Amino acid sequence: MISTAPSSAAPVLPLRPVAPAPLLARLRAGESAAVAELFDRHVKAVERAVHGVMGPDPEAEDLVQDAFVAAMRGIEGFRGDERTLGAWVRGIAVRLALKKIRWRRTRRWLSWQGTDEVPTLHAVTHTDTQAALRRAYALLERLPAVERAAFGLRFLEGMQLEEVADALGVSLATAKRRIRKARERFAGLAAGDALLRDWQERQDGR
Amino acid sequence: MSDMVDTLTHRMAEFQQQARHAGEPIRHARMRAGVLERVGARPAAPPARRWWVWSGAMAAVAAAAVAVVLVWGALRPRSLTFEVEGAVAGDRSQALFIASEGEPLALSFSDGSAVKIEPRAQLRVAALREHGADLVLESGAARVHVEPGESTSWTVGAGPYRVEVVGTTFAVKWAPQDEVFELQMQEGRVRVHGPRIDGVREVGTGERLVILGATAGRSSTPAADGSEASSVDASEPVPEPVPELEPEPVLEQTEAEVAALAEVERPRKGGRHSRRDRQSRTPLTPGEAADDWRSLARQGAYGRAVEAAEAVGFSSLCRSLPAAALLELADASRYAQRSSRAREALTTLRRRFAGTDAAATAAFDLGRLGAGCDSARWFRTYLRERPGGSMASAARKRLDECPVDQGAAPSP
Repeated sequence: MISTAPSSAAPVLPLRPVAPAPLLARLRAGESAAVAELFDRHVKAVERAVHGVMGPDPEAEDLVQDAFVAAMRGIEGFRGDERTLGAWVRGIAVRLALKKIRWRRTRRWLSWQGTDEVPTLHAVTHTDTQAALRRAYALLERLPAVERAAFGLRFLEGMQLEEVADALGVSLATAKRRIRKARERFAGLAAGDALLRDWQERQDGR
Repeated sequence: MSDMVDTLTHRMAEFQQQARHAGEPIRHARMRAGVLERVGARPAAPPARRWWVWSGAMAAVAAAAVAVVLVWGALRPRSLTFEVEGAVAGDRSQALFIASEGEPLALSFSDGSAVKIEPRAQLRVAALREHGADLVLESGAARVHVEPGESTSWTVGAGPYRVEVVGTTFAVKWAPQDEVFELQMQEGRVRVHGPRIDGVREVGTGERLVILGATAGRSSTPAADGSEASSVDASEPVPEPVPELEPEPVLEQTEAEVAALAEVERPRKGGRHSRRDRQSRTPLTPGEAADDWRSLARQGAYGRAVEAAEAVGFSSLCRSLPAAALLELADASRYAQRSSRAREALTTLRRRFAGTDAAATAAFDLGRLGAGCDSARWFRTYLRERPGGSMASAARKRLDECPVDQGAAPSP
């Protein structure tokens, strides 16, 4: 026989869903799932920033990883909140990419290498345009690193001026000045380049 | 002329976006795994030390570093070197090679190994070691011959797949858009790592491994004659029917062709040839010389193309090449900023092919090369010779840009 009498044990409380701990706290606790969540949330923005600074570079993938790893190693010192976490990782990525560009330029200068390394041009099938883009990226290499970054973030990745300033860690006025200078310099270099002038004429003729 | 910066940045932005979207899920998965692995291996923060301990340690490390650099310089093992179509590429690790639409591109390594990048394919030499190299096939097809040796260790990456090679000859293909991986063995045995094949799979002589949809397709290993190879298990579950893949021409090459590749493009063991060395062994015919500079120009290596033309005699090429090739040579020279060579090619063309369309084009190009009134005269010449020509409107615009126009046409 089964007794249906109420027991005298402690009353059973209704179940409530347990709110997950904030991402920042879980990151500081070193939870792998939190690191994966941080990565999934912000990888696109971080990758976009790295491409803005460096173009489609074979080392871009490594730099994106380095940025997340550096962020995790410095997470204790992060003073912002969850809303600014993405911008913080993106800023780290931009600084690492700038450092990489400067290091390459120094190495090239020391070893007398030319600037003939070309980016991966997966998506371009027209050889004419491929040659023009390769030349254009080579011209970007001749801009000062900070101007190249400002130019790439603004014109190649289509970031808003405020976003560019934030990614570069400079004031809005400084970001605007760098973008303007970079554009003037790039325009001057492109106008003096026979290959790009030919290409532009063919584009105009189409 | 519309604003060149706007046109260029628009195309570059478009390209960067497309490049990022290609293979994004696989790339992100790879990066995510890398981040998690590296973060998981985070070392504990080092305990604080006194300043003098740091100073002493730094001095000791600096002294040790100097010693290591000196010893390393003398004793370090020499990495492989390689040549691209006969030109020494040296230590150009991370360099990306893109074969042009019409012609393959050959890399020859100092250990006797050779790689032929098929037209339109892209291959990166990611690392060079003493007994091997890491290659990454970004897209398209490549034939690979690895010279066997005791310590040989080569890898060929293609998307999420990695082929481990000791000594063998095979063709590999990777289509990133469709995530199709193909491997056709000619000789030897390789190990393939990657998704959909239980981590690793061995593929031997005559076998073909095809993996459709690296993340969601299926794999099969038919032999060269089209039947399933019995030595490799292809019992992966098939979630949905996938159309059978037609073999590409590159995978249908005969053993003789592969042997020829290895034979013809393999440099002598342990050495490397300069272009002059190669020429001294087998002098180039004028036709071969033309092909040499032309293939370089078509890869966008304009400076090297002009050098190649000079190596076999620039002026004699100008006297012997047909009009279309002369225009190409002039273009390569202009793009390499070798104006005097471009002028030489164009004026020779106008002398040899006076009255033709090519001669008129040469006049337009001479206008592009010149400055001020000289430039204006050449544009006028073009307009006089071809008033309704395809470049007439560009010539008129250029004339408008010329600050001085003396009006007199130059002699052809």
